[in-house]
Amino acid sequence: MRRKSEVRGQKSEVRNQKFCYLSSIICLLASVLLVVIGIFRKEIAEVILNATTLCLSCIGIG
Amino acid sequence: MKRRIVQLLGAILPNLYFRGLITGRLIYQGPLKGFCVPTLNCYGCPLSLFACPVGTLQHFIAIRQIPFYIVGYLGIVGTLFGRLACGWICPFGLVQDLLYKIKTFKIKIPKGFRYFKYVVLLGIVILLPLLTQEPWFCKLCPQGGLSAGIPLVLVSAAMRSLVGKLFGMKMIILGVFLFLFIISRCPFCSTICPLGAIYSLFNRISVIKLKIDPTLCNKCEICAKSCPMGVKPYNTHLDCIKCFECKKVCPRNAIKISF
Repeated sequence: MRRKSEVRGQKSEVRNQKFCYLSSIICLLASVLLVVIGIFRKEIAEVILNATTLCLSCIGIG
Repeated sequence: MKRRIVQLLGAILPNLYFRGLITGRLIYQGPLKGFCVPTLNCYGCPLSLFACPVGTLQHFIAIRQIPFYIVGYLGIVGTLFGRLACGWICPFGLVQDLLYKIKTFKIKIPKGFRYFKYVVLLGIVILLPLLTQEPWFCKLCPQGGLSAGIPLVLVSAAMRSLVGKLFGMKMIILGVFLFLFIISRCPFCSTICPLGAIYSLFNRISVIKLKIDPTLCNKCEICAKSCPMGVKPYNTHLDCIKCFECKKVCPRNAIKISF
């Protein structure tokens, strides 16, 4: 009886691990795709423009 | 010790723009600013070479543009490392860790407060900028006050002349947090940080994770006591910052780093 539950536990762990691997691969691919889309939409230029403009109210001065 | 060195490098390496101090340029304006560091690192800091992911995310939301690049970037970092960046390279994490070493009375933050960071993420980082077109988290961010507000006021007379009530408010917020850092462990990481909230969503599926050997673990909870976030490593936890302190203290070597 105990062995049966142990085997079931191991099986669910393997299933869980497979789910994690699959999810991380999907997430990683989707994220890379988003970055590529962002680069094609010239978002890096917008990031530079934003990061190089000193926002006084953001740093609590103006 | 190893973690302290990495944390120190994480704080120093993205902030090496010393030329600005000589040339009188307040902030770095080169192409590296197109890239984000994986931690909170204010781009208003006179030494900062890179952009802050939370500031960038808010900016895109405020101008009502879908932030493909930054969302993808956070997805990549989150999927590969989960909250590892919080534990190893976040400069504000280093400040928290060092201030907590001051010997005084200590308090434990109630567990329910952990969910507040998701409210901050949704309310202050996403909804408020969307509705008001202003980066609200930046205006309140204590990290920005420490690494950008104070240094800019110190290096520039023009900035000093502009200081007003807003600066005072930011300094009060920073002061409250610095005090909290002394009396409680990682209060900002566990209850406020929106970046930590984003990375925590990936913690369960991240490539780098902790693996507990159930045949060796006897749930003595020594690991849980050493955890700066107060989590039990044998339960996969969203708040684990992967500092591996638990691995160090486990008397039965039951905790391993798995890929």
